Amino acid sequence: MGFYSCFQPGNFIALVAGTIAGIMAGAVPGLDCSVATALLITLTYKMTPSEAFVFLAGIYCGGVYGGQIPAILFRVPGASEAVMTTLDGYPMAQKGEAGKALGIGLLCSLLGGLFGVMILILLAPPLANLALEFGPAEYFGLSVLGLSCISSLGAKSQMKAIISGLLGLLFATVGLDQITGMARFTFGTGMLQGGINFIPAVIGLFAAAEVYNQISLKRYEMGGVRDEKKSNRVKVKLPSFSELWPIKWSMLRSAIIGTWIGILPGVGATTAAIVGYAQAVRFSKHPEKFGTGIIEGIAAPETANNAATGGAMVPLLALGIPGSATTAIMIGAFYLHGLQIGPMFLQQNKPLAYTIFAGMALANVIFFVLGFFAIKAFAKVLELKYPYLAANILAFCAVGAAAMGDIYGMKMMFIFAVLGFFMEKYGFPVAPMVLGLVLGPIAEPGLRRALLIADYDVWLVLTRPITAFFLILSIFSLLTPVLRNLFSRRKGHEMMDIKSQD
Amino acid sequence: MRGEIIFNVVLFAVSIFLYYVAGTFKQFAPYAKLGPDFWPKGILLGIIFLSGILLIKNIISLIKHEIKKSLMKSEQEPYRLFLVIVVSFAYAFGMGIFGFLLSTIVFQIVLLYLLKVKRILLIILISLLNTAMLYILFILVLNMLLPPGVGIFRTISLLFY
Repeated sequence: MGFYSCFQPGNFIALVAGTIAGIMAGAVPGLDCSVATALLITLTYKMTPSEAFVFLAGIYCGGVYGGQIPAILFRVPGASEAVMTTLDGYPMAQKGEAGKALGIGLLCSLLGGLFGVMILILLAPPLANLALEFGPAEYFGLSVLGLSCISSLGAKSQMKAIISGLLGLLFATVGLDQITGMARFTFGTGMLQGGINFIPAVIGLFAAAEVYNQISLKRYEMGGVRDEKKSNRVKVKLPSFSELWPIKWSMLRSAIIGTWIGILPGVGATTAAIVGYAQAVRFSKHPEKFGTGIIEGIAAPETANNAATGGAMVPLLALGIPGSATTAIMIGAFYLHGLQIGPMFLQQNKPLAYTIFAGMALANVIFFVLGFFAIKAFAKVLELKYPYLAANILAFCAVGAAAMGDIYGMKMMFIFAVLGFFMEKYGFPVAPMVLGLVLGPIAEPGLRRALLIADYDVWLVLTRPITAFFLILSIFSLLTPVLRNLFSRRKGHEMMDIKSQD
Repeated sequence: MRGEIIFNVVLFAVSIFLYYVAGTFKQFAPYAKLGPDFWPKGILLGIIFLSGILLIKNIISLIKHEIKKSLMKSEQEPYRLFLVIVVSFAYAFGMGIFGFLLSTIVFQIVLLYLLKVKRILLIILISLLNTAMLYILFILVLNMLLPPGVGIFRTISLLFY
């Protein structure tokens, strides 16, 4: 019934248009699917409800996918969901394997997205019920689990990775305190009262900082990057079965993680990508290869973030609670069309609900087909000489940040660009900082609310079954890289002893 | 190494300062036990502790092994970057006055000149094309309100918006 409805001309055109808009928004730094949803929601006013919601579903799925295109080609995460894709996607592109990286990202996005939609269709009510049982303590536990992945993200120094994560948590505290409403670290300026705007910060840390880094190099020349990219004839190369088979468990794990995180209210595709990547590192037999340009490093975050789109729709459609920023904006479309969103929505609007489910699934297929063309169009930019690219990227970053938060967003972007440049220069990875920025606003109120409810009894908060489970997992997650290092050092010493005895 | 020590010293000092600032946050009686300073202070203590350890490690390794290395020439050229950063911030501040269109064109002309593009005509052409692309995407297609500037610049910008 849903698929039949989606193939009606009006719905199908709206779906394709939404997916194209989503890919474009996802691919442009400073925009993402939530901004595009907010901008284009007014267009749905004259649409029928089914046209409106398949249009928005297209923007959502296309937008989460689209972020990976500039992330792989230019180390510019088009959307925050693609932050982790830069870590292995860009090194692969630098090695002349941009087509392969884009192909893996495209296919994993499709598979992850379809997995998320399948879970949405099959298990929406029970999963939503389970997620609803989470209280502040459980959210705190979940954020700690996410933050514990920081140690896995520190390629060279775990201590520097943890400092970077703590800086992210600190930046997340700027603005009004969620519990008391008191201003923190605003230094009397009105601009900082709303807090650090995430998108300009991420654009600065990842995109503009990289331009600064390239410009600062002595070996930088006008055609320097062009020479490296020249061999990089970008043609989407889908991975072979033999390439995908060894990472099947990593993909499945990422799909499950992504869907699950998507279902949790407030935790969206960005967190899904970060946790999916970090868990792929943790479970890998060769964690040291992550960040150097391996297919698993693209497959894990792209499967997870697209799976999260289906997951994020579960609490929205079943309970009226947004699972992500984009689904929060979508609530506006329900009001616009006079629909009551909540537990009764699925019961009262079955045809529309099935159309949305089918629209989500079809949007994944459509971006898969469109992906070839979008990638080819963007790949053309690679043929430009670096100064033209640098000028364009910096202006794009600046204007994108200005569009997100006026001049304040732009200034913030440049401040984070300088910070990101110096951090990278002195070996502090910037990814943990992003993790801190995302999870800080969940972890802090979670802990404080849980302690308030438990009358400041810390033991009572930490021993709640689900919280305790998350915290134990966090300890394992934190200790695994340390133990692995100790084990490999010990093994090294034993080898040296054996050699010296010989 | 010397640069890294300076970075860690700045991190350490700023964290101590922010810890002091956190102590001045207004308290709200019902939440006195877990006030707005509770979480930031915990984070800052962690940063102070870890950056302190890093600083000690840096100094020890500088004394022991790295003196020769620190005297080696850097692979980075800071002057061009410094100028690009200055121009970037000038662009950020200038956009509010001159508006998106004019400031973006001028920013790209200066940037391309700093990045060693020598053909003036090409610099102007690229800057105009890039700005036109941004204008079409953000203003015409996405209908986003980018700063129009003030005074005469605002009047000129609004002709295009």
